[in-house]
Amino acid sequence: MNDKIEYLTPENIKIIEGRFDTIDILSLKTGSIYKGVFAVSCFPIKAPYKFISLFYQKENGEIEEIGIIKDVSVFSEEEKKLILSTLNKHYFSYEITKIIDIKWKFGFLFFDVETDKGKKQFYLRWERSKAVDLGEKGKILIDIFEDRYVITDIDKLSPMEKTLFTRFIYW
Amino acid sequence: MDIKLETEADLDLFGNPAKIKVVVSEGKLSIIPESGFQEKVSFELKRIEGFNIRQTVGSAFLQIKIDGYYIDIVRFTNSNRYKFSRLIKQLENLKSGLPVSQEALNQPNPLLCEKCGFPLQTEESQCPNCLKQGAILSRVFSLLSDHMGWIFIIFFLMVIGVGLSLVPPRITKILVDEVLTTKRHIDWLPYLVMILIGAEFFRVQINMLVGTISTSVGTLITNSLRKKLFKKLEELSLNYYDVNSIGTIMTRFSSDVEAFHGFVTQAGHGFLLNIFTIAGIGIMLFSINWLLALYVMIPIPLVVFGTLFFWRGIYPKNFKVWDSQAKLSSFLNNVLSGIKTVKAFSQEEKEFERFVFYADKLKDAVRNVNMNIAVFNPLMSFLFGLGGLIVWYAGGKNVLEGKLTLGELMAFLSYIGMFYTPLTNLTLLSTWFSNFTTASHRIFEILDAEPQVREPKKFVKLTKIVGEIEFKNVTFGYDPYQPVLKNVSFKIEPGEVVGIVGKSGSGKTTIINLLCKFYEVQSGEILIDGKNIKEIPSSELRKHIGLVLQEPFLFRGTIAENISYGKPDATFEEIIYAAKVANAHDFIMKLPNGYDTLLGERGAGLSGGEKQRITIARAILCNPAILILDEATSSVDTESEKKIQDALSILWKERTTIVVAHRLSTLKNADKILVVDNGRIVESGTHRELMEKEGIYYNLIMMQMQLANIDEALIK
Repeated sequence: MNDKIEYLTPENIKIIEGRFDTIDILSLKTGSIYKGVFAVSCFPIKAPYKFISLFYQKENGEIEEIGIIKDVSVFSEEEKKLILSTLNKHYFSYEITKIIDIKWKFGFLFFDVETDKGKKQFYLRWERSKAVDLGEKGKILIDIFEDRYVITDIDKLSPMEKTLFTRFIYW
Repeated sequence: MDIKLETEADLDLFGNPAKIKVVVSEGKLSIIPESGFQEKVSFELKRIEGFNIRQTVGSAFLQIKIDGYYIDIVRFTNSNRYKFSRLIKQLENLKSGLPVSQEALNQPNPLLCEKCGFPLQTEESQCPNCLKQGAILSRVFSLLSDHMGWIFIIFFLMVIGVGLSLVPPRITKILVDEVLTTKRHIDWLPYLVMILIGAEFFRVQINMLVGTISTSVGTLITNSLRKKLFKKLEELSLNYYDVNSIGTIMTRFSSDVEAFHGFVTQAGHGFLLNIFTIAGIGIMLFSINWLLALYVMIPIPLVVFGTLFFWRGIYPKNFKVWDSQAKLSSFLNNVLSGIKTVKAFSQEEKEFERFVFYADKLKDAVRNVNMNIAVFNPLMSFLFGLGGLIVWYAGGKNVLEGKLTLGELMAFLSYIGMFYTPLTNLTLLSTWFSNFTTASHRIFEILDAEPQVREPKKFVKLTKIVGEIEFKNVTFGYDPYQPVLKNVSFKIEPGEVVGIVGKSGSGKTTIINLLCKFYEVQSGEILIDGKNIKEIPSSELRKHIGLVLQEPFLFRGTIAENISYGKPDATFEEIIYAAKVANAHDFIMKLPNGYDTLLGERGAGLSGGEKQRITIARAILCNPAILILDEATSSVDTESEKKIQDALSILWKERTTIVVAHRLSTLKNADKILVVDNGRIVESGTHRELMEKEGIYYNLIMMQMQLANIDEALIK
C-alpha cells in the first residue's frame, strides 16, 4: 500500500513559508520546489488533522497532488503551524451557537441564528442533502449559496431550540 | 484616483468576517482591508499573468498568477461568488484592452429575487414569494378553463345537495311536534316519511352525480396537465436536468399534479360544501332558537384553535412519515438492484442492519403521527359532545318550561351533529390551500421554465449540410463560475475524421455537448457550414448529427424499433442494412424473434457490445452528415470493439466524423487529432505530427503502449 501513496515526512520534504501567506514545499528527494501549495484533509469530519493531502497548481492551472502527510505531529512546530494554517484556509463554516427561529416557506427553511461570527440569517433548501451528519451528534447545514453552518452537538441546544430544529431536520 | 473597478469581500484571508475592498485603478489591483487581519497590498496589473477563483469548502479565494504560480489575494464566502466571477471577467477584459464595466459588478445576485430577496430555484425561476396566491389561483383557473362548465355544474348540484341535507331535521321537527307528541295531524305521517325518503333519495343521487363528475373532470385535468408537463420537459435543455433531480421531477408528475385533482374534489366535496353546510345549518339553528344557537357557538374557538394547533404540529411529523417511506423504498430499490454485489461481498447481514434502521425510522414516524391522532380525535369528539351537552341542558330546560317544543330540540340536535365536522374541515382549509398553492407553484415552475438553449425566432429548415464545423473562441462552464472550455477554437473540414483526446474531465465531451446544442455557449460561436448554430433550430440541427454515446441507451421496445428510433418510417430493408453495417445483424439473427425481439428496460438481455452495435445501427440509419462517437467503444470488450471499429471505419468514409476516444489506437488514421487539456486545445495535428512533437499526445500514446506491453508480457 505504501508504494501507492506518496507519504510526505520531514525526511523527504521541507516546508517553507512562501510569499503572501502561501507555503512552498521543497522536495528533498528531487530538489523541486512547489509554490503556492494548499492542504486538504482526506477525512475532514472523522479525522481532520490526519492524512493531509498537499496540492499545487501547475502552470496550466491544473491541480496535482504532491503527497500525503499521514501524521502532522512528526513535523517541527514551525512546519506544523504552516501546514495547519494552510489546511484551515481550505475550510470555512459558521458555528451555530443559538437558533433564534426557523420558518418553512415554499420548500425552503429560513434560519435566524447566532454564530461564532455574529448573527446570521440564511435560507436552506429543505432537502436531506443540505443537512448532513457531522460525526454522531452534529449537523452541517449547506445554504443556497453553499455556505456552511455547523451544529457540533444537537444535544447541546436548549430543549426549545432542539425541538424547533428537529421539527424540520429530523433525519 | 480614477477607479475602474471596485468590489468588496466579506472575509479576510484567515476566515474572519471582514470588509476587504478590491480596487482596480491606475494600472494596479489593490486589496484594501477596512477590517480584519489582512494586510494592504497592491499588484501591478501588467505583472499579473492570470486570474482564477479557487473554490474551497465553504468559501473561495480570488487568485492571481504571478511569476508562474497562483497566490490567494482575497477570500470571500460563497454568497459572493457571483460577484467575483464577474470581477475576473472584467479583469480579463482590462488585461486584453477591452472595455470594462463597474455596472456588471453591481448587478444583484441572480439567485435571489430582486424584489423580496427570496431564493430562486434557478436564475430564470419566478419568485414563489412574490407570486401572490390570487395570481396563482387565476393561473389555476386558466388551466381549468376547458372544464369550467363542468365545475359550475358541480357547484350548482352541490348547493342543491346542501339544501336537501337541511330538510330531514326540519321534517323531524314537524313529525315530533305535529304528529307524535300532539297527535294533531296523524294523517301527515306517511307524507312526512315520504318527504324524508325523497329528500334522502335525491341527496344521494346528487352526491353520486357530483362524485362522478368531479372524478372524471379531475382525471381529465390531471391527464392534460401531465401531457403539458411532459411536452415542456422535452423542450427543456439538459441544464434543467443538471439542477433538478429526476426524483424531484417524478414527484411533480405524481403528487403535485394530483393536487389539481384534489382541487376539483375540494370544490365538489370539500371547502365549498363545508362553507354552504355551515351557513345553511347556522341559518336553521338561529331560526329555531337564537339563544340556543349562541350556546352551540361556545366550543367553536376551542375546536378551531385545537385543530389549528394540532395540524401545525402534525404537519412536519407527516413529512417525516413520507420521508421515511421514500427512504425505505429507495434503500430497497438500491439493495435489490445490486443484490449480486451484496451477495458477492457477503454483506447480507450488514444490509439487513441497514434495512432495520430504515424500517425502524418508518415505524417510529408512523407511530408518532398515529399516537398524536389517537389523542386528538377523542378530544375533538369530546368538544363536539360538549356542544350537544350544552344544548341538552339549556334546550331541555326550555322544553320543560314550554319555551321550546320537543321537535325543535330534536331538530336542533340533528343540526349540531352536522355542524362541527365541516367546521373542523374548514379550519384546515388554510393548510390545504397553502399545500395546494405550493404544489401549483411547482407545476408552474416547470411550465414557465425557459430552455437554456434558446431557439431562433425564425424557423430555418436545414435541408442539406456538408459537415464543416468551426469553434470560434468558445468558452463554457456547466457552472458559469467554473469554465470547462476556455476560449476553444478549431476547424473541421467536410468529410474529415477528427479525434478528440485528453484526460478525463479535460472537456472532450463538453465539446460534443455544445456541438449538439445540448447547452448554449457562454461566449464565442460554433458554426456549421458557416452558419452559427444559434440560428439553427435544435431539432433541425440534430437531424444531421448522429450521436453514439459511451453508455448505449435502448428503450423498451423491439430491436427494430430501437434501430429505427430516429427514422420511424424506415423500411425493413433499411433496418437490416444498418444492422449489417453496424455488425449487429448476426447476433440479432441468433435471437428467436430476430429483429422483433422485445428488449427490456435499457436493453436488458443484451451484452454491452451488442447494445452498442444497435445504437450504432440507429445512428447509421439516420445517415447523418456529422457522426459523433463519444467514447463509443470504451465500455465493450476487445472482440466487440474490433467488430464496432470495423463497422465504423465504413461510416467514416462518407461523412464528417468526430471520435472522442481514450483508446488512442483507434485514431491512428484520423485526419486530425485535437488534444484537450484543462479546457483548452493544446495540440492539434495528425498522429505522425503529434508523435514527432513529443507533447501530451505522445506521452498518452507511450503510456498506453506500456500498458499494452504489460498485457503482452502477461500473455507470454
